[in-house]
Amino acid sequence: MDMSATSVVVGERRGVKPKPEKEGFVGKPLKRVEDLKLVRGLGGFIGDLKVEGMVYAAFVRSPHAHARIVGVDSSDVLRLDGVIGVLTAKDLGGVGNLPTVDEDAEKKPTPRRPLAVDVTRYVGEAVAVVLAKDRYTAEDAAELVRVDYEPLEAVVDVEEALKPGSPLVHDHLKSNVCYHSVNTVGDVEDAFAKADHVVSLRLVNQRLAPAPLETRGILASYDRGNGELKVWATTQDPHGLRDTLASILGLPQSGVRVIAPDMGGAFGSKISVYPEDVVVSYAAIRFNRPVKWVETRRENIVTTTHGRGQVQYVEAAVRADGRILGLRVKIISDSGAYNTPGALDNPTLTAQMFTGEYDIKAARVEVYSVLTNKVPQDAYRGAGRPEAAYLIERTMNVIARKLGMDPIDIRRINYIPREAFPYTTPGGLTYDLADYEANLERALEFSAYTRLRREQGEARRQGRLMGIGVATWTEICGFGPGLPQTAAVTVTPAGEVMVSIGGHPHGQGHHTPIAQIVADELGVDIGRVSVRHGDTALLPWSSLTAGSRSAALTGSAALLSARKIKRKMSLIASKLLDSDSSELVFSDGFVYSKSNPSRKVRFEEVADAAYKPWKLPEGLEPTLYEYTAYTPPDYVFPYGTHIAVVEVDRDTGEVEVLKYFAVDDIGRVINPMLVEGQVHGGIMQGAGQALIEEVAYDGGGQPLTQSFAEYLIPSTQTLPNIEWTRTETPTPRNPLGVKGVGEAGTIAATPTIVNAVEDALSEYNVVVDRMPLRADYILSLINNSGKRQN
Amino acid sequence: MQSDNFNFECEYWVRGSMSSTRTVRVRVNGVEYTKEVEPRLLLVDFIRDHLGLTGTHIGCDTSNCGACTVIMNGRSVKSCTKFAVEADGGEILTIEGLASDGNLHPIQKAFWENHALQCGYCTPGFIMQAYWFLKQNPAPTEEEIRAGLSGNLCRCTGYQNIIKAVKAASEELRAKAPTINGG
Repeated sequence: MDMSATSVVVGERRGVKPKPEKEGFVGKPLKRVEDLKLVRGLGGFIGDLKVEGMVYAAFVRSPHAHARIVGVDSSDVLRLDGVIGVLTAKDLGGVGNLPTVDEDAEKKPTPRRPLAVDVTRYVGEAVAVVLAKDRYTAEDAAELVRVDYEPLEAVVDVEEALKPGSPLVHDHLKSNVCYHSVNTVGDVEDAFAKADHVVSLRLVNQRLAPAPLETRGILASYDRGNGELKVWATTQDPHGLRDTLASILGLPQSGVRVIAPDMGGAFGSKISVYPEDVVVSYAAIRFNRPVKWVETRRENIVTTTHGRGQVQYVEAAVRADGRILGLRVKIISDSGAYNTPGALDNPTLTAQMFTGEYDIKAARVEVYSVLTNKVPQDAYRGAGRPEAAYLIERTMNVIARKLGMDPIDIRRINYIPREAFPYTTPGGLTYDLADYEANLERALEFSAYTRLRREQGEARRQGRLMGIGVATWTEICGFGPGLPQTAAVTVTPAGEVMVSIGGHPHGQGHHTPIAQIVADELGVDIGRVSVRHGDTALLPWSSLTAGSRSAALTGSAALLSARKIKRKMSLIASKLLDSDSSELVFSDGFVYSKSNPSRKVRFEEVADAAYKPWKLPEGLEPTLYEYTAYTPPDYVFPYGTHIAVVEVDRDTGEVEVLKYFAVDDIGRVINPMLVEGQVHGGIMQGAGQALIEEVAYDGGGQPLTQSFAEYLIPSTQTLPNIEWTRTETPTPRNPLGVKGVGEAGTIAATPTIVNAVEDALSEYNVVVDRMPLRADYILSLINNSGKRQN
Repeated sequence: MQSDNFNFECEYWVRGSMSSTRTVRVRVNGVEYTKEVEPRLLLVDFIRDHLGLTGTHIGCDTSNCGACTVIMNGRSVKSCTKFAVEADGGEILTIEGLASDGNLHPIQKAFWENHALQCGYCTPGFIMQAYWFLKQNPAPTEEEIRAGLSGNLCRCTGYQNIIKAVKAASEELRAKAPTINGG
């Protein structure tokens, strides 16, 4: 990797697509192979799968946010025709607990049973399960389970939960704090002492429902003869689910096979192991019947983990010229009812990434994770990094306004300079390589920023509230040195290339870019390469698909496996061609001698020879199969600049996004069409948080958003077309030079749009302190500003 | 404020009527079916579970997302909030009936070519809605496409490429118009 080439601006003019850097498949916008089944309705999603003898599960769930379970009476249920059985907590004696954190000085674990025992801690917590011959009967039967509850006082607001005397979500803990940490770097007190200004603000990053269009589901089948539990599940982590189920159910890991079928989106919500996964798997063994459960949308919004959920207090020590000397940050994370590993990851990532692209030498960050009577928090697209970007990018905006600076200038003066990389942050991370200034310049040019400001001036003269918002973002990607990812390449005797990957798609489209990488490496047509995934039987191990890491890790693992194949095929071809293996070239479906290109052999002839020991060089093992568990040396940090133009209707409070520009640096790009698709979708989800999405509870912990009529997700009406281009700074931290793009748009869009709305409201001099920016909230800001006209 | 308004057990709401069944005769993708079903059976479950046409998906149960969109008697309907008995005597077109002789319908092709799908779960519903919409408005503007598809939700694509695909499909369909017979 040539590290001297820092930032290459691609695309000469606006709208010009970057050119592939060499001939080959990598870099080209190839259409996806899986689409041909999906556009014809021939996908195989969890809801579509059937197994002979399958029965259906329906869960009985708590209607109370916090209650003591006095009794469960399921005697009526078995009288209903078609009911197979019912399970309550007392039937799950031999079944282990769901995962929680390991206890240490900072972390408090919270034991969690698959079905609630004695106490329920959020509305929707599963209390019992009913199995019946079909789904309708199962739902009928679940209604007949009588649970007597004694309601307890619930705690819903995360800051109320922190106060002494608050109701306790878990009695065995002395408070609702389940994680507390403090990290101080540099001389923070000195920074504040030297500051010309101190800017303080409180930000709320509301809870969101990941809400993939396909809900969660599981189908479990137990083969009593072979002692194998086979599970089809909507999971981002098949091997993780295998190992966790084995541990909880007391089965050997070799006795559990997990298959993730086609998945209709996940966005982080299908990472963790859920109570239903355990209960359905256990029921399949206990009743010796395949058992299927697919979540309703209502269950999905209420009982699938939520993302975000942070209150952030920020104090910035600022010099008169806009330079930030130090930050004090307090993050209060709303963990929900249990301290799950996922609930802890989010605020810890925020606490690592909260300084963004800025060179801030002194910082103190304190994190509280706090239990409340709500469904547990977990990953949602970005997982902790959107909260970090929001924190710092909103802070930059507020500082710029206080100092009367353009939001561009405040960023320029604080950027980590390009010569400072690799750069170690107060969060303890070492950024790989970046040129923020060049990316910003490209964004200004791409959006015609100066012209936008002129247009804004004109709009203001006409009395219109037009705003321009800027956010520059970076994120930690390519997890990580501690989390390898796997791939294997097989070349069959016919010369077909089969790639098995540990990561697997839920919309990302792994097939095509992985095939592009492998086809280029082996010099074969992409049509010869097939990609499979999502089955624990394919590979010895894999880590999860999350964190924008598939191109960097799965892609690198596939590339390195293909290289190993190439090495072995070179040895075989060298015997067939009587050439030196080191001078062989793989291209166009042939293996050539570089010095004498007329000496060549078809790729499939070499493949065939690999399975015939008498054709092999002495000592070479037959067959062509190579496996790689790729571990990167460190994380990667993509970045970019987003600019939004909005207009606020001062009479109705409605916000309209007029224009959206994005310039991202995600390193090398394997398939620009898929990358741009990720950017569009990501920005839309970030816009959803800014404008319309919010999981709401009443004071007693009753969820107020239970369907897509109440929990709004973006529609065709939310954003105009997004204009996107990129700069390219390949990372030196993986062999492909790729960084990751899945979460980029989501991370950037939320602060970009909120900053734009705050800019639109600048005549009212208000700070936007919560989301979503629905009309009623915007009107309340205007009305309470004291500057309301008329 | 405590309330008992949360009743998870009421997802399928018509109860106690399981003993009686009704006959449904319906033509789906050109094939006649006659089935005995419970009156409460939802059309989407009839299509998926009784006819085995699983390309029609369930996304929300409440008519908000449009993943279950099919064409019934010439109109687009959200099959998650129709009963199977309402289709009796009618004609239905689902995503499986759109491609003919193994050739993708121009809308399917346009979705593929324009990367208008990611996870593909909402896609059949979008394609069926676009199919109906383009029959109503064969030459739509971008704004009209956005309005025409506003009852369908996609969580992956950000809609931009879907709009582009429907525009491209409208152009191809118009170019081919004389030979298109509505199937």
